[in-house]
Amino acid sequence: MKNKGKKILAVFLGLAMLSTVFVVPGGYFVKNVDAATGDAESGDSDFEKYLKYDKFKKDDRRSKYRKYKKAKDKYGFDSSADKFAAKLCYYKIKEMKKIGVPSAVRKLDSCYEDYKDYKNYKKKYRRPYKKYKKYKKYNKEEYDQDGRYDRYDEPSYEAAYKRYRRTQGNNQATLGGGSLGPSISVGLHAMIDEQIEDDSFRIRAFDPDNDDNPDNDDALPFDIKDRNGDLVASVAEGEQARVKYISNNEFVLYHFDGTTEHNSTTTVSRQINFEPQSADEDDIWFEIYHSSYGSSYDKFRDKVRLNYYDPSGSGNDRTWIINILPLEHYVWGMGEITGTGDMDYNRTMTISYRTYGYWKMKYSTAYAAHGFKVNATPGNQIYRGYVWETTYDRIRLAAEDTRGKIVIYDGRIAITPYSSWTDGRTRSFEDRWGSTNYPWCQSVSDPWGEHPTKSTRQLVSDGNHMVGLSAHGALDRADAGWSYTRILEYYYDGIDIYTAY
Amino acid sequence: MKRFFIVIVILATVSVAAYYVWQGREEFLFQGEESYEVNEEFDEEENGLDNLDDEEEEYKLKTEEEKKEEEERKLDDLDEEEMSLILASDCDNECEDWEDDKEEFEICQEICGLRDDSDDSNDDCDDLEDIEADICYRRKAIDEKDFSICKKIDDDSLRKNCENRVTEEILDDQN
Repeated sequence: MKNKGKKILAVFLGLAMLSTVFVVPGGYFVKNVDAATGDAESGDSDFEKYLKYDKFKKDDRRSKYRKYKKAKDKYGFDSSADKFAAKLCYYKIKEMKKIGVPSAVRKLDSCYEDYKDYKNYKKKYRRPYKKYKKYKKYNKEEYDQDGRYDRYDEPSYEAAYKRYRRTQGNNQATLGGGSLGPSISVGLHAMIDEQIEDDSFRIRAFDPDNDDNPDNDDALPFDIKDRNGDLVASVAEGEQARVKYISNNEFVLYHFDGTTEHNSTTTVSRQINFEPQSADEDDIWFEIYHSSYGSSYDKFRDKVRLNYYDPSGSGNDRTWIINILPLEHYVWGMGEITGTGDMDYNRTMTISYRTYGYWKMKYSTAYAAHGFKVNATPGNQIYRGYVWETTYDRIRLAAEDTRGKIVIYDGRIAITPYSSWTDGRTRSFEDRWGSTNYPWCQSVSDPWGEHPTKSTRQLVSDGNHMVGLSAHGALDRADAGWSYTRILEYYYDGIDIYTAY
Repeated sequence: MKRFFIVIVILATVSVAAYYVWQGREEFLFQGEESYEVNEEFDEEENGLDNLDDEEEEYKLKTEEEKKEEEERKLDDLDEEEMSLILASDCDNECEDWEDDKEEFEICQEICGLRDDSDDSNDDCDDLEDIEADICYRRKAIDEKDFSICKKIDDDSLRKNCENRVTEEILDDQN
């Protein structure tokens, strides 16, 4: 019985080994089983694989970032002064080693502990983990998959991920937005504290059908919200809102019914938003007034915001009037041109304005503390809003023809500098300003944009940097029958025109 | 004991099945290769492709492959840049995503112009270390509108932002 048992055991072990040999090496059989549950080597579409690989990638980067943080916390220095001191010690002890000071003596040196700390910092943190610092945005709970998606770290998933990404537009135009594009915030005008303390800022809303100097009776109702988006007040039909600055970042609201200004105790801190009550923002524009705002271009689509800018200790406090609107509406109100000339010239320019706006929305931080992305003044792009849009309606037509189109280069949003005139040749960005980051701005011949009388020096002192597109050159070429695509591709090397929305 | 035999019989059946699957797989693989070779021969005979054409074809395929790889690399870079850098959108919520990390929060606040800068002026950035040095270089580069200073910045977000800010300063200054 004992022998029989041994035989049976031997047969069993033999069969088990055979199973291992035939089933495991291929891995094929095992994976097919998984395929039934849709886990690996499955019939997943590229999109499904993209989602899985994306989860793996984010989880992986999150975990790498955490390794970086852990190593930094353990081996990093509290201050740069500490690090600097340790670094000096490190090189001192290294030098001692080099000249042959015995180990026992080196260990007695007051620098030895710092030397060890710096050595650890280099070996256990800087070399292996510092590179993962760039994954800081992945350090969020939402990306934590606890390694569950690690099995998708394989070529077929990675390839599907890339394929799917390519179909989605291989570029950085990722701001989304509806058919009119993502929202851009435009700084219109700044008021110092005294100006808005003494004289109220006034605002009322109208329907686009009432664009010929409507009076108060035509005014539409609108909402006033604070910086958290909470409703503070609603302005009734036929009325306007008034705002004064009190102190300590606080504003007080009034309402004016056409004859009387009604005092209010409603105060709002730092930011006030004026928004349409109707969901359809296309159907409203705001008229703004303040005695310090001397412009007759006082009508703006969609939303208006007051934002208090308070740089600590600088004495430069300002209240900014900001227009928030879809990128397309912004382009419709561009005050850089009047819409004259061939339509392809206007199409060229609207693509250029849109690209600049898009770039600003993604990368501009110059006015971040002020609460907007782009300034309405010539320093950025002249924006004059609804009055300009309705006066020079060919700009809107050109913008509609090119809706959503921006210039990209190798997937990057290609900022598009332009000048009015050149001296017969444009300049490369690198030659003019010393950066190789903008390879699409190369020097090209521009006989069509050459100023008839001014010298290069005069042109430059007039603000013609001559980098990128030449406006007069583009105008001439459009008259000669060039399409906007051809014009842009001539002045910006290697670019693509991409429809971002 | 009876159960034990049943288990053994099942295991034996599974093993035999596995063996056939394994064999079948190899056959399938070879079949694919053969048909590929036959097709290749047929194409060559039919079209009379000479060696030069083959080389050209290979070169084209290689170039296309390289192009594809280059595109993929760029896509990865863009993807990474999008996620790894502090961009304008981080300023919209006053850097709240970074509040739990002192250094990153400081970098974000610097980028967004939200940092109290009263005692950070220093003419010689080389005397500083780490983030202090990076911030110093960034400010200097923006003041002097000089891209080359941005290159000295170690932190990716600060360096990229430095380049963008210098671009903004230069272009805004021209109009």
